[in-house]
Amino acid sequence: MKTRLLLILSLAVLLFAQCAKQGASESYASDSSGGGKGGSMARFAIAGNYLYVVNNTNLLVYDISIPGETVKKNTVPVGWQIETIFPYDDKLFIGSTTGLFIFELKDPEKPTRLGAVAHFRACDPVVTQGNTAYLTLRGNGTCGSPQNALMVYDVTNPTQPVLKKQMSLTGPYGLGVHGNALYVCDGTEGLVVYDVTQPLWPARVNTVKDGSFFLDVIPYNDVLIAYVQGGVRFFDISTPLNPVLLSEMLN
Amino acid sequence: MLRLFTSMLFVVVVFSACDGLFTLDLNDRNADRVGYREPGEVQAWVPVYEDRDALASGVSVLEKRATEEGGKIFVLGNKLFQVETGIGLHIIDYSDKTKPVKVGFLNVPGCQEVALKGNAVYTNSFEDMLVLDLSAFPDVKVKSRLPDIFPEMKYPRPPTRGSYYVCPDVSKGRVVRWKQETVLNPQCMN
Repeated sequence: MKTRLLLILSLAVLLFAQCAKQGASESYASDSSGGGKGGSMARFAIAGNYLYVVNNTNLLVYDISIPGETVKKNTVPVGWQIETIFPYDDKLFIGSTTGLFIFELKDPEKPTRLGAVAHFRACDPVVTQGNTAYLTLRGNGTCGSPQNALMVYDVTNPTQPVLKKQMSLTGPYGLGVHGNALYVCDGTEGLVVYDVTQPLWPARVNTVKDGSFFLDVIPYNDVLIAYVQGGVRFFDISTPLNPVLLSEMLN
Repeated sequence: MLRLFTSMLFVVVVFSACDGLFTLDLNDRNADRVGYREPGEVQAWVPVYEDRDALASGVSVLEKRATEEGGKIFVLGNKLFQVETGIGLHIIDYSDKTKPVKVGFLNVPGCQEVALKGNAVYTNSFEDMLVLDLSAFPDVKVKSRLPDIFPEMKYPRPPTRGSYYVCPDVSKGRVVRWKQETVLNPQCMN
């Protein structure tokens, strides 16, 4: 009798566990690629079970391992006029109007500042691939000086990022990197494509100029999702250096 | 006297250049007023006030709507979320990359940011951070509201500096976002 009860009970537990598992893996967005991705101008970054948020001055850390719950873990002062955060590997790249900050996440609840570089006053989203950080500076509009540029930093030693190259642009916004291609939104000048086979020496190879005002991009698998003024456009990037327009959603 | 005025003007200009350092209450100040100028008919930012009804109803799922002032994007699986600045989130299904379709709209007053993990949407409503639960979509619940995470988003400023804008009128409610229009003699400058 006792064994039977035990058997039934354990069966029930097993069944329940199975159901719970299914429930947990079923996401609204039916994600099969292991996580979402934001643009380079985001103030939210998700890395593992943690959500990192930047406001004007601080980096906030939340444990989000329990779905829907946010457990505050830390507040780390960063500086002034913080605008963007980009997670890469076990690091966070944080952009402000005056510089770039690199934090490491060895202990994900205690981001530690490794290094920083100052640059002229401008809006500055940043993305990273391998040991290279790419940053755009837009001087006009809401931000400081009148300079506009793509900056290339060697971050092999994150405590001392080294500026390797500065390339002139018209009025850049967000950017994204995928394989050997770097995509830079240059406002009305279009989407500029650089070959980054040599990561520290981007070569401008292509420009998608079709009248759209490009603001930010997310390379996601083989699709480049571009946020343009008025909506979004989807490009096929199975050949990364040659984005091909697939569709657009402009209203 | 004129010199004093000039230096004071300089102080004001310098101060307004550092506005990112402070949380400025646009509804509460007159620092940007340029009452002594008459610029005529110019392009200016015009405040869009909150829709009190929409605000009262809180976060909800609405029919898909046109993108007017699209904002930041976040992609997860076959879904793309795009901010409609100050209004909410477009949900776009791009399972067919050649034919993306809007499948709904989350009404989130003051929205500017978005990120997703599983069924959780992280966003903001003005200065508050919100976590929305999509697991029972289209029944969307606010799982949590963390107050005052983004003090700088309490009163969105006009998007570009050095431009004219129509001074907000407190009696019309809270400014949700700004739109550009041709205006006769706008009285504020960013």
